[in-house]
Amino acid sequence: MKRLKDHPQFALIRVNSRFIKVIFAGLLYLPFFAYGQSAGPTLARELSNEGDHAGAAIEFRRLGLEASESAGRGGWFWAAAYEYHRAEKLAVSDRMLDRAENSDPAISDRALLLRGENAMDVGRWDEGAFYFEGALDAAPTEPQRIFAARKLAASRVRLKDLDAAEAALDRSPIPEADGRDALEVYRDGRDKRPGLGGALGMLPGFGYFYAGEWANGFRSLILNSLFIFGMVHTAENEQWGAFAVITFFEFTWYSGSIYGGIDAAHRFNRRREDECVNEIVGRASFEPDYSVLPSVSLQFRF
Amino acid sequence: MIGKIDPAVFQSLETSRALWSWDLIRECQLEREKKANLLSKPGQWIVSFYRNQINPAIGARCSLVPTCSEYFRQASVQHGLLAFPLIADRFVREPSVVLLQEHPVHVHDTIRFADPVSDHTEWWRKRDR
Repeated sequence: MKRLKDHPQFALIRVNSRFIKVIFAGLLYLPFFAYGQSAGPTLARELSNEGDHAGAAIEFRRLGLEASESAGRGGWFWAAAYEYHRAEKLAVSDRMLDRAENSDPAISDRALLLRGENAMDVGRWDEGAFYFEGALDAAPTEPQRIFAARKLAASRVRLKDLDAAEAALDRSPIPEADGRDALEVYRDGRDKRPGLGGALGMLPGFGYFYAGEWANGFRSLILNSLFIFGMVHTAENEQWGAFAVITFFEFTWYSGSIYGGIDAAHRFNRRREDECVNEIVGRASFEPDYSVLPSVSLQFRF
Repeated sequence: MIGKIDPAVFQSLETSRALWSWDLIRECQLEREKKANLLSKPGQWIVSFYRNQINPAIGARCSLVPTCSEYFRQASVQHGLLAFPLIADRFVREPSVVLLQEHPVHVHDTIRFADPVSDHTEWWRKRDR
């Protein structure tokens, strides 16, 4: 009697089961194959080139989480931090730098540069100076030292410490003649006093005149004069409804003149400071060479 | 919400859904505007009146970003009655800001100039940093 297992149908099942094993093994291999062919870096670069920096940062961050080697992980997180910086998400950028440094402490000189940039972008000048000081000490190449020295000097100017700014420029490997000239011009000039600007603003327009904003001053003077004339005219004719409306607007213009006097003085000081800082920093900037990622190699431009 | 702002970012987020963590979700949350108080109401009423009754008749005339009504609304919400001197100062400055052309911004195929509230309040808010 023929055994049941010898039946042709069972032979077919045996062949099928072997075939299933091949399919199963193939399915197991597929994710590894896909990992080897990962399009992550290319996608991140494309997103960055298209100006979608937040999207690029997410891709780099995903690559960082997937990376098995700590050095590689540090590089991807640094790239994510750089893209978050360009997307103006500075708090997240700082957090990515924490992860980058935790993964690869050797990356800290480049992390310090980016931390300094983040701090300067939100006006934390003292923090920026601290990071650029560290970056200058740790800078392994000449362009990196020049960049860090200029940025350190700029942060010192923001902190109104002009001697320290000059000392920072002294540490640059090149003479920095433009920066020194700008520092000299800034030192020779004088800031406007916002309090005095506000006091002069009590005479409509004079606060703007004090800061050199002649057109704004005349506009304020004319508007206030017209409304004061309106107040007097309506009061003389006992048109109290119109008087109330015009007085309300005149109070607004008058308070605007005082506020504008203070603000104009601050604006004058800020412009003077910006000019000095722009001269010191020049066109200095850096960007990572994405073709060698996850190792972080910076290209400086001056 | 994010899909409406930028479909590409939404797509990127969707592809990495498995990696979402609470940290990431917190980072992606939008900042809420400061809640309006009683002193901000007069400014908001004036803006509301202007937008409903005057603006439809005269059209958009402001060359700055945010527009003057939006600037006044934001200043009212953030600084209450101080919005009045702020908007008066802006009306006086507007032609000069346009003339200087310092911070151009493209808005619906027209060029406008950025002049946010924070640029004119930062000197008395420095202590908050």
